[in-house]
Amino acid sequence: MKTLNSIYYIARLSFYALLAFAGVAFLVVTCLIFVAAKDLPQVPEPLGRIIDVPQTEVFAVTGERLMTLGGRVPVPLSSVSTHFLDAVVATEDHRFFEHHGLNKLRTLKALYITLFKPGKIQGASTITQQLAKNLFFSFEKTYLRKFRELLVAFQIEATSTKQEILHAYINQIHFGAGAQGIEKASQLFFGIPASDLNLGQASLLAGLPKSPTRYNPFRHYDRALKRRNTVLKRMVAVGAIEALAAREAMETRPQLIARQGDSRTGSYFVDALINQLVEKYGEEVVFHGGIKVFSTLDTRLQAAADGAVAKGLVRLDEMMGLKQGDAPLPQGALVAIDTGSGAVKAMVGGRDYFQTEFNRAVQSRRQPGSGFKPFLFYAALNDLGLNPASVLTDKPVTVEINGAPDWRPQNFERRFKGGMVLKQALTHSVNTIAAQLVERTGPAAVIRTAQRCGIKSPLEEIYSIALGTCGVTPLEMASAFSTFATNGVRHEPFLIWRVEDPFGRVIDEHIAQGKRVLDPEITFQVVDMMRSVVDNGSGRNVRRLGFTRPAAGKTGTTDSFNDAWFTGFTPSLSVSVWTGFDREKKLAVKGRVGITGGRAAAPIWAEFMKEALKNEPERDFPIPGGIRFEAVDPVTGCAPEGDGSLGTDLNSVHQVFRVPLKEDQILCQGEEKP
Amino acid sequence: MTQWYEPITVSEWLKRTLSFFNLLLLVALATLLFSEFRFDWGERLVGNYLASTNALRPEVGIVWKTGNQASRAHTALDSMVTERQDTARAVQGAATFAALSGIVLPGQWTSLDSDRFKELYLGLAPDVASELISPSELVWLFGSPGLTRIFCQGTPQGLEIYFLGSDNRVIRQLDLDHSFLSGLENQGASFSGKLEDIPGFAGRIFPADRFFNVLLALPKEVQPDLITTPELLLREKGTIVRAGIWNEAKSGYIRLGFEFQENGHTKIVFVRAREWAVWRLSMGLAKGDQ
Repeated sequence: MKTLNSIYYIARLSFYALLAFAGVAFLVVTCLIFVAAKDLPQVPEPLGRIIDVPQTEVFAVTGERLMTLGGRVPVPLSSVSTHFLDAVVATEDHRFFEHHGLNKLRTLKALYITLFKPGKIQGASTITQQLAKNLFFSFEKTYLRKFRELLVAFQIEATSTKQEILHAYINQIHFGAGAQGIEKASQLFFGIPASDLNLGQASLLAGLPKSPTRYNPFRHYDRALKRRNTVLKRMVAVGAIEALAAREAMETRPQLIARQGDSRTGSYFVDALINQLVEKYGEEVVFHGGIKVFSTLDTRLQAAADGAVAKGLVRLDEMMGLKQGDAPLPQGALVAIDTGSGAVKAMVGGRDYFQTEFNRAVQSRRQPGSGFKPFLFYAALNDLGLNPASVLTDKPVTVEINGAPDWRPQNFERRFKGGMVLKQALTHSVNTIAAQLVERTGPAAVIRTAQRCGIKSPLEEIYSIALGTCGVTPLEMASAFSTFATNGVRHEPFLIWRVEDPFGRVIDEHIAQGKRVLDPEITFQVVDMMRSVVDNGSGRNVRRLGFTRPAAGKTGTTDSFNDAWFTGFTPSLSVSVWTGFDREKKLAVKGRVGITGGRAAAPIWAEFMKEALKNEPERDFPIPGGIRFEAVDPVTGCAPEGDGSLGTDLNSVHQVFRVPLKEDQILCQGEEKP
Repeated sequence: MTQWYEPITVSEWLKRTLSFFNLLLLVALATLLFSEFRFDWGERLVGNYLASTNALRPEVGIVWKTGNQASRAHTALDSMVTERQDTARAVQGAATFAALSGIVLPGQWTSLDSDRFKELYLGLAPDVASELISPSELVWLFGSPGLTRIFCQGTPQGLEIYFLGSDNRVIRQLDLDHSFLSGLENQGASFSGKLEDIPGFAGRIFPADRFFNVLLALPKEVQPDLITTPELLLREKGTIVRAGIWNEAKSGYIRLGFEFQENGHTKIVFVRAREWAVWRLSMGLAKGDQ
């Protein structure tokens, strides 16, 4: 009896204690509700309003939408595949249509696991709770946050229908890779509207919100498929689909659309454009303003640029004996500019955007090497009264510099060829003649010319500037050479033609304004020398690769072979190509012979130009009035002996040149006669 | 004594356990619990309570932050667009190029209706209009199919007007800098005072008779280029006592100042003269000095 009494005593005590505890708990929870309710976030009414933020759209000049930023475009439930709706409900909250914001049994089970099975955690958030969390709360994991989230979920349930809640949920949920909302996810991963998702695709997407990074199908496709299969099993378990349909769906491997990778823009051009927009309008307008940006990008040229750089880098890898997977691999950059306006038509900032977002086309300042010589030659022709037939001697040169060691530039071939006309000197990129010219013009004249043409990077006033020892970007080089292409009219490079607000009202537009910065006749003389570089000189690889249109350009290779450039232009398009390693490393054939701009960058340039201009009529460079052409002996600078016909042997030292001369310039007025 | 909580028999124990109060409490609790599980009244109660206080609560959280950012972005965009529209409206009402430059401030831009431009241009004195752009070139510009619109932009230097072709490419650009614009305003304007008071005429002030003797000695075809707007001088009532030549040429023109005297009061009237004609005049005046 005593035992019975004890049991009774304990039972009774427990009962009343439990009762008291329940009472206290009820009071505490009630108080908590009142306290927490004060600074709970206000829930927008109607709920749909919260996801109606217009997105900023970026368009190519050819009309295609390049990308969207921020914002969300909600789709009604009726425009979403029922497979997806079934899958997401089965996976995330199969009692969604029954509960009122809280799945109590699942919560109790989760509580039990959390309390009594250390190390194991089970989630019990309903779709409404997840919606509340995503809309109002940070991802900080605290009990108080959880409680507040629950209260908001109750309010959402009390004021919205299940359809409204599900609509809000599927339109704001994150699927990873920058896709927020089912429509964007469907477009991003499969390139189709959400209404067209089949069971395999829908179940794959429904599995992503659990861990968008871990299950990102672009990066972990098999893991995403495994998760997809779990979703399908859940769908069978809750009776949303038949087991047979699930089995069939499990056997499919949904095709992802190519080259999306993740949330990033996937484009060096768009990155550069967004940076410009943010600088001008601020992040709020760019990411939340729903503006429409009409860019200068030509998708056909961009595809050609991507292809040419990829192909050129593979060829470079092979030349260097590198294999995929070796690290580091050389990088490349390309910028193409419309000479008539300055519009940037294509931009490649590296080998693979998804490996490195560093945009070498606009952010990387690399030494252009001999690619800088056209600025020197212009300065020399302009300031010293020389002409392309003026003769200088290729000989050892020592330039004395106050307070510093003498400068003794060497030729690439380490030998001296004696007297030659300036056109010959630029064609074969003779460093000693460049040194003699810069000694006479002074480095300031070269800098002045480069800056007039559009070089904006800081340039040091040193003699070696003539040989391109100051870093510049491919964008600057393409833009500066574009000034030569237009006979001295400079157009500022730009990426955006027009910006409109969400209602189509223009808030900014670019006026393609040219400014004469160089003398047209002298510029034409320099262009003629640069044509010779492409036809007969260090850039002749361009011709060997089958690019036959009128073109001018200049190769550039740094002493250490760290940088290999080719910048060239036709009358309509100016393109700069750089190749090299991000860190100082020599471009060399299997570690031995250095690779020049003519071998590494010129083929990329030629490949791109062939594709870019294939549907355009051929145009020649306009000849300014007052220019006449004369045949000249490249050694004497005088009229050639004999009939004066132009030589065809590219390797002949005595090939006859045709040089453009201004009205007051005559032959045989050479600087130095051999 | 047996305590109330110590039943001595099983029947007593059962009786007490199944007492009315206990059963009622149990049933009440079970009903409460069951009904909550069945009808979710707790969630509804809390939800409805929170809905009733919704308007009083703060607009905080990610969604509100995003909403506010969007709202601020739209405000910023609206103000940009409104400014543009205001400028565009005001420009259509501008009566002169000088007024236009007062509307399109540095950093602002707007399109200019081609008829409006023509009106402004035709409102200029012929010599000034020619200085801005030759009438024949303007005829060619307006007649060419390439012209799509006229665009003007305020700059710190004054006003730039662009004639645009397709793709917003500039076909022709007119720079109306401050000195040109002030010249427009001063054209025909008078200045109370003497020529010495204006530093621009220093060292180049001549008695009127000498000035006109040299001028009239110049070939007949040169003279109209020196007094390009005689009406400005003819409408003055006083007598010209001296004339000055400005020390700076602008766009092929040099300003001349004529000092009028009337009832003891002196004033200067400015006119423009062709640079090359003024150069010939100056040569003649210089010869006189020798």
